Amino acid sequence: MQLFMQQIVNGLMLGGMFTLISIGLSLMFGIMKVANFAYGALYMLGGYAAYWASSLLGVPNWFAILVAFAATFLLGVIIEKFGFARFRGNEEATLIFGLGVALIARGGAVLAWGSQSRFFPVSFNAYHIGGIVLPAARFWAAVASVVIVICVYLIVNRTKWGRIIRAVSDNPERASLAGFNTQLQYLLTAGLATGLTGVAAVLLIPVFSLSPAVDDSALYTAMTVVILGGLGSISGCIVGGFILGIVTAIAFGYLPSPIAPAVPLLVLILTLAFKPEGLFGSRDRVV
Amino acid sequence: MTKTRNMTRRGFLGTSGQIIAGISITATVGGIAFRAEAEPKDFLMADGKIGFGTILPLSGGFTVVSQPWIHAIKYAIEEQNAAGGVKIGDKSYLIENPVGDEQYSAQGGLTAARKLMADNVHYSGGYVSVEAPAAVQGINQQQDHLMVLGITGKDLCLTDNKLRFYEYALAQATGPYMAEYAYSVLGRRKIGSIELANTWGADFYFSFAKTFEALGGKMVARGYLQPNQTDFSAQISDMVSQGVDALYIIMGDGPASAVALQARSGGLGTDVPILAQGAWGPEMYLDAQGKATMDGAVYPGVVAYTEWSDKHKQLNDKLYADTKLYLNNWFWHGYDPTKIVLWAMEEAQSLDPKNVVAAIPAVVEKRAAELMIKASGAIQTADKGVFLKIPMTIGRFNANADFANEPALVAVTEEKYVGFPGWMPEKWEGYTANPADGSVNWYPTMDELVALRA
Repeated sequence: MQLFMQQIVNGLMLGGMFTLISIGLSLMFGIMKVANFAYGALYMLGGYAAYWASSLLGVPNWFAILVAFAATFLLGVIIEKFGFARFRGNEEATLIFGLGVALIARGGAVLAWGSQSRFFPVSFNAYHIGGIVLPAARFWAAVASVVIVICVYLIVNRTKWGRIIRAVSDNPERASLAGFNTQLQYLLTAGLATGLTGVAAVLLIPVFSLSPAVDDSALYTAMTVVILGGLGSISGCIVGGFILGIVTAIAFGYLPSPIAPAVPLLVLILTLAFKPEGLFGSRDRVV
Repeated sequence: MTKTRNMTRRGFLGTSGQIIAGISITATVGGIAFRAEAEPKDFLMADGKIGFGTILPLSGGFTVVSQPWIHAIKYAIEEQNAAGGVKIGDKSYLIENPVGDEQYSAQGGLTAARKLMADNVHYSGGYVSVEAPAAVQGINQQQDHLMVLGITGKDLCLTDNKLRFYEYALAQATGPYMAEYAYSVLGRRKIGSIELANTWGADFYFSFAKTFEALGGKMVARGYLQPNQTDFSAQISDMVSQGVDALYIIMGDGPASAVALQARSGGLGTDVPILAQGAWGPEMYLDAQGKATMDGAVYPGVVAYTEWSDKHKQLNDKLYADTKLYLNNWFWHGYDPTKIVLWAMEEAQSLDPKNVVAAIPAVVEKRAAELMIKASGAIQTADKGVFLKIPMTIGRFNANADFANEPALVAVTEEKYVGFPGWMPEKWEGYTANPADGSVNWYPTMDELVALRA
């Protein structure tokens, strides 16, 4: 029973982190209707920005988070301005552009920084509660993830700017006629969404490590969570993240190892087969 | 009006027979003619050079593994070219080294190999995955293409393939030594393991587990990992709950670093030693996390990995300048084995891979003193190619070493585990049997291995 509880706790912590990885992708899809296949690469680049800021400049971790956010915010703005904005409405071109950016980013990262794994210095401390082990880095990453995701939810749903970007998402022409600069809102949304990937990278690298190859796993995780929760739904992203985290932990904890990696994919397939709009999704949902 | 002719059954068979006979005679005569002038120009690339290709991941995972290997092959070829190339008769041929992207996949390896073969390249080294060489082995003999590879796993390297030069240690030979060291020297009794889910991982697991359990130890919480897996918390929790006293990681670099990190923070403290297989290089210890999690890990390396000389320094400096990486096991997969193949061309006085592979045992014996990996010969099998006799040493990783001036792997002090045979004895049935044959003892224990060597 104790092992089962441990696996549930593992799953909850993992779920929090999965949610954070996914939130930017969900936001981009919800507001901008863009399936950003460069998302994993941006996560990776944000991680490197923070890593080099931390290891070369010796800045503290909290400052590294700001560096990562700023760097990926800027990247997001550039990619939106010179890529997605030009292809808006053309899904195939958007998809190919995203994949192209991802390939270039990964190849460039290998050439520039090598392909070895890198870590942020982190404590190996763990909290022990009734026999349950809570690794400190993982626990705080999960807590921070949940806090950040709640903040994003509040920004989008409870602030004036949130109302503006939802209006732009709902009907860009009408928002434009109402005097909103839709291009600026798209740029800001893209910046925020990709900036969040940078923050996710800083929080999760101490747990998962950083290398040019992490882009794939970040993209797959984010896609699975977003599809499971419902494309563009922040609430769905939270629930989807936790479901995927718990399913993953239980699968790896109890099922024969060769089968376990397939279980999260099975969840994705079942979702697509029986509830393609996701748990919280609807055809016209705006975050 | 068109004139038609009805063909009877007899007529059809007769005509067909004549055509088939004609084709057969033409092919036979052509074959004889081809053989008669097959040496050596038919094995050269369009520019008149010998093609020795490299097939390793340039994209996807494991590029950190492939970079030292790619450069090791390149350096060996550069040295041979600097010495005038390969001398066949009164002519010398320079060597060209095209590199193909394995992509750590069967399709990637196959595509890269086909490209090399189309360019009349008859030799290739590398292959870091199991899937890519397994796929290439389906066509290499038809194409007169010698594969130089060193990834273990009975379903990969013990299948039939006469044009294979296996250049590294077999899991069956190293596993028992690792297990005995863990049990007898480290005093471990309950080991948790996590392995790459393929024949490479399985062979390292079983070759270790059979001896460890025969000695009285217990293997628990056997887990698997995928190359792109990032979270291992479930497996680590399982090991913690079962009270393992050592962790056996059958995998290298990125995922292994993550396993070690998550083990240390998930309840397996530094009193639980790590036993390792796979691509463990100094780059894993360059930051504080690596030093804290993996220092002292037990690892079987080639002898050259535990030594240091002027030549080590020269190669290390060159590799670092090119890749920002240091010497590791994977470098030694490429450097000496490539030289062996090039020397075997001269030994055979032929560029035909069939002649070259046959000359490898002789050339290894003749030029053993020139090999940094201290190979002591090679085993010629009937149908499975040639296997290098390469000695291995169990070492402990020194995460605080000055990697530019000393080896990261420090040989253990117990003599038995230094320079032990990394090959299986010649009379081992694995060299002749089908890997699917369940009646074969594919994973002998240490006692059985000793008896086989007697």
